[in-house]
Amino acid sequence: VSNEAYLIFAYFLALLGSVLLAGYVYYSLHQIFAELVSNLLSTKPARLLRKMFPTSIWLIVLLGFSTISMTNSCAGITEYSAIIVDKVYVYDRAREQISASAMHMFWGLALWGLVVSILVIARKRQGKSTDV
Amino acid sequence: VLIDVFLFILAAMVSLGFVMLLYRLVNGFLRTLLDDLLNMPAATSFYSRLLLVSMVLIGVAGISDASFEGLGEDAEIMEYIWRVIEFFEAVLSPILIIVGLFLVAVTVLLAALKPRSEQ
Repeated sequence: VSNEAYLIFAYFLALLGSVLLAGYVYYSLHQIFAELVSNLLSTKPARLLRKMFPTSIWLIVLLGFSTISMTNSCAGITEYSAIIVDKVYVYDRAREQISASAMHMFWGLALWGLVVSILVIARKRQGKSTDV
Repeated sequence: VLIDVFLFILAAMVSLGFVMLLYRLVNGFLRTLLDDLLNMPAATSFYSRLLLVSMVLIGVAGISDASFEGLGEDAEIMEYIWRVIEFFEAVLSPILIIVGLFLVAVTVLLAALKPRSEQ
């Protein structure tokens, strides 16, 4: 395999891996999230959050992927010709891109978990004050 | 190179197996607690799946970061064993931190909301 083909393959494989991760998160959570938000909020805010959730997942994963640049000024690798000669460097960068996508996705989900927790606590408190 | 790839795949599969095992161990207890605390099946399912997805994401991030590179062709068997152990440490310690953070989050929920059984 030529170095250029290897670079293209590794880059798009890392992108595919990141997109698959986002797909996994989306299909694991979107239905239950929509159901929960519909229970917790009135129609309009619930619809807004239902739309924001998948959009944020895809944006976060792409953001995570793009935070790892193929160039590395600290190591003096700033030009295409310098990148392409080193297959190990390309492989390492591809791994870092998948890792960054997963980590960004995790923090994004932690934020959504916090939002849901606030809504749940508010709903429970509201229920208690209504009971009183 | 082949042994590196084989060990990497094996260690990655063992790590994901550990994630599933840990999830199964924690999930039953977590669901019971959340059911009692929230009385919202959708919220219980959401938190339960959120835990699984978080553990998988952190596992994937750890697996992607870990590597078996650097061992030469003349590496001894113990060097491979050490590398495998380092791999597990890199992958599993963040997962355990996530489980710990989740427990803290549930404790905060417990403090903020009184469980039904205590009301």
